[in-house]
Amino acid sequence: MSLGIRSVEDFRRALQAIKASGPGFSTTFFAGMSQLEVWLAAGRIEFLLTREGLLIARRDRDFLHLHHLVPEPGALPGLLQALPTAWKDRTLVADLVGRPEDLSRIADGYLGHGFQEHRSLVRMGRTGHPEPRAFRDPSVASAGPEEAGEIVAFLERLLDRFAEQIPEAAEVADWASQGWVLASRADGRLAGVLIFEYQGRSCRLLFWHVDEACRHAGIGSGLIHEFFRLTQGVTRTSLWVMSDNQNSLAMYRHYGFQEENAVDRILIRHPLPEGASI
Amino acid sequence: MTPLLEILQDIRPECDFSASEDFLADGLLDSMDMVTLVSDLDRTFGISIDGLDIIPEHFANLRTIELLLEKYGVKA
Repeated sequence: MSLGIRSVEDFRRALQAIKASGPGFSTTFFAGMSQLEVWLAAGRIEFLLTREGLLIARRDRDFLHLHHLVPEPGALPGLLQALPTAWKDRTLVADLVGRPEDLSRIADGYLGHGFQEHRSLVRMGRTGHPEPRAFRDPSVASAGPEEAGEIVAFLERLLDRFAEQIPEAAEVADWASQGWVLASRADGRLAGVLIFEYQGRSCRLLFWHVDEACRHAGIGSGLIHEFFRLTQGVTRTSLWVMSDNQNSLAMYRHYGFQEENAVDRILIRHPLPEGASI
Repeated sequence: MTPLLEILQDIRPECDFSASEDFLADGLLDSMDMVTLVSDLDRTFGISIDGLDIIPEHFANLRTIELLLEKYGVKA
């Protein structure tokens, strides 16, 4: 299916051609070239290049993330018309990320081709960090790479796999080897996890979750304060949070984060029943 | 405020772009913002930034973006 695109260079050539052929370039593919190289090498990504643009399908567990590159949003319906049967037989998830006002026309293209609104996230950020408290929670420790599988299973149990970009164990092991994964244990069992990632002098808070059975025991607080302690001196921290999760929004506001004008509208298309059409 | 700063402030009103020498490292722009910025620059200045020019080095700070725009005949 990867017609004509087998390398990062092929992708860059396609990007250049699509961008040059219209006045309103639109994409939902924001991965860096090094990440693309990893996916290509692992055979986790496929491409469909047509006259309308480029579709990208990336394998994630039992579904595909779908991305597009088009010269202008009006080309999107034609491009989606070309969705290969092999992709349509899987659940497809499209993340439309950007300013809310820029996404309406793109969303219409997807909604007209069998996609439905699933969830949405909003970006939050804060400059600097609060002073860490003096008390360190003894149940919080940096996780080692050998804990990656258990941490992924923990996240898979708690999170919506379509909406929350749950990492693979290898990614978690990599973050853990850099000291970016914190775990809190109660009686030896994983009770909470916080994962972050440095980007230059800033960082992204990727996951901060506590087992429902262990809520209201200070585990989340212990994790976030250890995170603040470890990342003193960062210029800025950003994160994405479910826009309908009022508890999380309130918690992040409490720690000084503010909503920004960027959303991630997650649209989903499940395989159609046999014989059905859009 | 210059048109370029106005565009950047429109994308991230909460950030102070004049105080940073590296927008990406300082967390003022991410890859999604970079694509938004390219669209806004194209539209505002009536240019079409080449796909091969959409690399982090060109969006590091005000000066590097100005140099990129100069390549397309724009004095920002």
